[in-house]
Order: sequence, then C-alpha cells, then structure tokens
Amino acid sequence: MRRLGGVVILMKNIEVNYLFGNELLDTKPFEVYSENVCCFLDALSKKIRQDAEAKKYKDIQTFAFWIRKAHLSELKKSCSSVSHRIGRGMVFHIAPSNVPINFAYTFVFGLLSGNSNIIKVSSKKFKQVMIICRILKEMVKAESFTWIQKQNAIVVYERDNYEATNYFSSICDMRIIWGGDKTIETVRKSPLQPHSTEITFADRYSIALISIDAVQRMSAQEMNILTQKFYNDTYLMDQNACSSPQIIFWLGDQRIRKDVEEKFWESLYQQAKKYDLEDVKVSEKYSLLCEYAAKLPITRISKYENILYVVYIDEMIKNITELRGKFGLFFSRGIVSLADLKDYVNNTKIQTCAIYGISPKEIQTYILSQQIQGIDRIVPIGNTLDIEMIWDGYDVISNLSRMIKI
Amino acid sequence: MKLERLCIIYYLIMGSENMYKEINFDTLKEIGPYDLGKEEKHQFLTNRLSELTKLHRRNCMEYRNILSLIPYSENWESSYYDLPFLPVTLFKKMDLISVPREDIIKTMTSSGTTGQAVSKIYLNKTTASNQQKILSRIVSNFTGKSRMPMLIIDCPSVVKNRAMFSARGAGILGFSIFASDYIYALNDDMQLNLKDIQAFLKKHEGKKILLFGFTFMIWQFFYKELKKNPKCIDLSAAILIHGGGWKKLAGEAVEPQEFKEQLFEVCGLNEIHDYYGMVEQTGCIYMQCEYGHLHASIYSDVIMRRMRDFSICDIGEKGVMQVLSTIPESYPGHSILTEDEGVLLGEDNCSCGRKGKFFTVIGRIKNAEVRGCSDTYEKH
Repeated sequence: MRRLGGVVILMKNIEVNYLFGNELLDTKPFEVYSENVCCFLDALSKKIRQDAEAKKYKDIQTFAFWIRKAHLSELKKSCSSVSHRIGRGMVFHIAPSNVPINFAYTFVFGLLSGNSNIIKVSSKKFKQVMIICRILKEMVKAESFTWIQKQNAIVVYERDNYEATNYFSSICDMRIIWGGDKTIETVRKSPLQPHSTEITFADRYSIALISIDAVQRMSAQEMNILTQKFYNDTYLMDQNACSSPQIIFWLGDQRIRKDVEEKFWESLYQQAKKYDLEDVKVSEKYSLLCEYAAKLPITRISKYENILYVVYIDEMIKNITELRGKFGLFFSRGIVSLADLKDYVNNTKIQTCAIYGISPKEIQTYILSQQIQGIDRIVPIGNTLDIEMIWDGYDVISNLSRMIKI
Repeated sequence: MKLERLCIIYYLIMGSENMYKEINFDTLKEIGPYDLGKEEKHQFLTNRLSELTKLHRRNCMEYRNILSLIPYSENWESSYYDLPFLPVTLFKKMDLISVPREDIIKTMTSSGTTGQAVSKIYLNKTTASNQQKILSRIVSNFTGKSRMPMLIIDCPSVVKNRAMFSARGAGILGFSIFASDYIYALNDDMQLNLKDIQAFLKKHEGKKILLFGFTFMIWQFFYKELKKNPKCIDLSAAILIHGGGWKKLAGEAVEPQEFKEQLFEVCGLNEIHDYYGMVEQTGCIYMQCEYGHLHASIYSDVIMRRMRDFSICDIGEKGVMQVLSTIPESYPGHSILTEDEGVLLGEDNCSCGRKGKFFTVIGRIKNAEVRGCSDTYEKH
C-alpha cells in the first residue's frame, strides 16, 4: 500500500519531472474556501502582479486578478453549503495542451474545494507554467506557506508514460481531465479506486449569435468596442480555446444582413492587424481555407489580406462542429429567428454561445423548452474566456468536495 | 539556330486555347534550360501556366471550387505572377487529380513525420515522361550530355515498388537515366559496400563518375564511414549531386559549407551540387551552380511572398517560396505555395552565366511539420 494515513510516498522510478513539490504528499482534506487557502491565493495574486516577467503575459495577469481576495469572497458567498463541505482528499488533474494558464485555474479549483493536488501539465514548454511554478517556489519559502508544497505537486511527463498516469490515478480520490477527447480516452484506461470518480471536459465547440438589428444601430465606436471584444475571445487564443466562437449566426432580417455584417468584419480586420500572424499560421490557415473551398457547399468567401478569412455558409450544414477555423478564419450563417437555431445547436459538443444584442434569458428559455442538447453557457461577446466555477455544466466546487450530512 | 529558336518562341507566344495539347517539350529542347531572359520567359510561362490553369479548372472539381471561391486576381492570363497557388499541404488532405483514374500510372508520396499524412501526387504517362525529359535536360547542363558511371548513395530496396514510391525512390529512378553503369553504395541494412565501390571505381578508371543521393544519407552513411578511413577512395574526378534538404543535419550542426569541406577532405570530391526540389513538382529541379546559387530553369520559376498579404518580396528580401512548373498535367500542381523560406538573389545576372532567377533556400518555416525526401529513413 502506498498510503500511510494521510501521507503518500510516491514511487521514485516512474520518470516524472516535478516542477513544484515533490514525491512526498500529505493528503489531508480541509474545508472549502478555507481561510488558509484564500490567504495564500491573495498573497500569490499580489506576488504575481509585482513580478516583472509575469507582467508580459495577459493571461497570467487575468489569473492573478481572479484569485484576489475580493473575488474569492464573492465566490464564497455565492457557494451554498460552505460550512459543511470538505475536500475529497487528493485530486489528480490533467491540464489541457491548448490553454497554457488553465493548469493554474484547475489547481485553484482543487485548493478552494479543500483538496491536495497533483497537476500534470502539458509537455509543451509553456512560459506561463514556468513563471508560475517559479513564483510558487519562491512563495513557499515563507513559513506560513510551506504547507502548500507539502500538499501539492505540479508534474510533467511524456504522454506515453502510462505508468505515471496509472500510478497517480490509482492513488487519487478524484480525477479531472481537461480534454480533448483523445486524451480522455487514453487516460480512462488508467483505473481509479472504487470510491473515486472523475469529471472530464471533452472537445467542445462554440458559437456566436448576433442580432442584425442591434448591430445596425451601432455607432462606429461601439462597433470597435464589440470587435475588440470578439478579438479577445478569438485571436488572443489563436481561435483554439474550446470557448472561442468558430461561427457567427446573424439573427434577423437577412435583407439588411450583408451591409451590417461587412462593417463588422471590416472592423474586426482592423483590430486583428495587431495579431502576431506568423508565416506558419498563414500557411495552415490558407490550407484550411482551400480545403473548405474545395469540399463544402459554400458560395462566398471574404479575404482581408491573410489576417481574416470569412466563409459564408448558405446551405444547411448538418454538423457545424466540423467547421473549425484557426488564427482568424470564421464561418457565417444567417438565421431569421431563434427557432431556426435548433437545427444547428442540438449537439452535445456545443459549449458557449457568445451573444450581442440578444437577451440571454430568451436563449436559456429556448434551450430548456426545446430540450436542446447543446449550449452550456451564454455570455456576452468578450467574456467567453472567463473561467467560472460552473464550467461545462459542472459545479466544480460541489464535484471536488464532499458534504458532511448530519 | 537563332532563327529556329525565335520561331519557337513566336509559336509559343501566339498560342491558342488548345495550346496545352500542342506544347511539345521536344520542341523546347532547342532552347537551353537556362537560355531565356526575363521578358521572353515571362511570355512563355504566362501562356503555358494559364493554359494549365484552365486545364485543371476544367478537369479537377476541387481545384475549380477553390478558384471560383477564393478571391484571386483575375489577371493571371496576362501575368503568371497573378496566378492562384495551392498550399503544398493540400496534397496531403485530398486526392487532386485532373485525369481519369485509369490514366494514372504512378503515384508518388512525400515523406512525412511518423503518423502524419503524406502528399499524394498522381502522374499520367505524359506528365511522368515530361518530368523525366526535363530532369535530364537540366542535369545535363551541369554534367554534360553523355551518360556516366553512377554511384547511388542509397540502398537497393528504396526503389522496390515501381507503381508507388517515395521521393527518395523517385529521385533515384529519375537520376538513374544518367547512368551508363551503376551500383548502390549501401546494402539494405545501410552498411557501406567499400569493396564494391573500390572495384566499381577501378572498372571505370579515367571516367567522370556521377554520385547521387540525399543530403542526409550522404552524411550519415557515406561520409561518416569514409571518415573512419579517409582517402580510401579517390573521387577527385567525380561530381556529386545531392538534394533533400538540410533539416535532418541541423541536429548534427552541419552547414552546407562544412558538408562540402568535409567531403573534400575524406575523398577528394570537389564538384558538389545541391539541388532543391519536391515530390509535388518533380522534374524541374533547381540546381546549384558553381557560385552556390540555386537556379530556376526555363521550365519553372520561383516567387517569394510576404505571408501577411501574399505580396511579392523584393530582391534580397526573405519570403515564403511559391514554385511554378510547366510540367504537371495530371494533377493541379503547377503553382504551389511551399512551406520553405527563401531569398531571391537576382535574375539573369548570375556570374555563372545562366539566365533566369537564382536564389537560396533558408529552410522550413518555423514550426511547420518537418518533411523532405531524405527523412524517410527511420533508425531502428
């Protein structure tokens, strides 16, 4: 048995690189949103914001802002049953390879829900990971924070090191896999203990829904604000985050759609001029465009240099989740009323619906009444990358903790 | 002679709609592969390439869709600089064919990294034959017209299956037409056949020998073995033609200059020509002249583009290479955007005397999938 009481002695011969923490792991659970954790996170937040290297990364800064005291207090208030929730023990996290900062969020989810954590990060050497691990190591030198290092580890190892995945899976009380579908399939081959469960975040697809009428009434300045937000949702993540919209549905009067839409794309093109459009990105994007042009029933393509490509879908396409862009390649489809949306979004892969000019409540009602399988969250354009405690339909804190019933 | 040539050029320029059926690569034999200056070449290429574009648009549905949807310039019939171009990776993603399937006599594949798709290039009789003819004309310009005893720096199993073969096999078969006699320098487990090579050289003593192989193979299996026993063979009267790229050698920290110097040291080789080519456009390779410049023959051309908007680079400015070829009739490969970076050095004014554009290739664009003829061999 590898567990003695609360202390786990991890095996030494499984070729795992520890970026933070080490093989000895203390796995005592604690209450959710505990004072110690919130205090640590607030100190971490301050330290990150003061760090010169971290300043260069917008996603790190956003993370630091998210874990500050005021925000955590808010989250704590909106969490019911805080007083009788406690962690499950040790959570094994597998962070995704497409969003570098995600590992930090999942670590925080684990801490806030009262657990000790082992986080496996992607073998892609992300700067964000290196920076945050460095800062963590500096922080745990302070006596009040040494416990963090005793209870948590951040590891990296080759994807085909099944021994490592098997091992961590066999000792955890909860496993959380941040996609994609292939990773989930592979990791699921490593068994869990009978009492352990897991939550998975599979490949998802996201859309945007814009009211033609609302956009028509916009001033040029309002348009620029909207496209700046859309840029943040998409280009900032190379259009590769699962919540980045791939297609825009233009809702309303199709007769005025063309002019309205053109203004939007023209404005987005101007915003996207600042995007780091490396040669290899153009090569991939252009190849993707040609592939779609060769095969899909499309009738029009707009090309704004190689910065922005728009593919207009004029026929019903059964499975829109196959329409993926990258580095600034978007699809466009017109629908007359919300009722027409069902044909496209009745698909469990669809996660985020980013909106402008439409009431979120209206869409929520529509999904419930029409028993639609897709769409887990509805957010304004510009907020798709906001991480929340309810993610992909899971209430994360509830899932990672247990309730003590009297 | 000059009148004949002028007639040919006139004939080509005044061509009609059905030109592609009439272009006879045999007729072009009268014009040396590096004899056309900028203006004449522009006319000739524009005619031939626009006819090929129409041919492929008519016969290949995917190509037709791409041309009709993507906003390309309408001006390509007046200048080949405005010709649409397909991204080289498209040949991995779909079968692009402009003739009936039963006309395909050969399928060529590029090398790919493990697990990745490979390019598939479909050749009919005409295209395959023209590739061979043009390769022959280009190389003869450097080696002379007579056949030579040839030492192939590879192993015999690389050309086993003649109906479907990789770039390495294609290169060897293509170049083997220059051979009056040949042997493989390596056996099937990549060991150097030193004894056989020495016997072969003795047999053909006094003659000029042609060596051919892929850059990586030559370094790994030929040079490294010879280094153990330098000067065991004397290749001072030989000519080496090699291609396939330098990507694999980057790991060994070998630059082109060092490659030449080291080979000279171990076996006296001093006439070495690199060439740039790809499985998507075989035949019209870009040979390296005595000044180290890669040259575009009359059968092809290169255009360096800025990737932000595909505009054309100035001379001396780094860009991504678009390659054009007058040969492909069975597949729409006459205008391709590669994933290689290059620099145009000049046009018509290389010190070697050859007309046409000359350039250097810098290498694969950052982070693109590592490909190349010589990467097909995998270590055990």
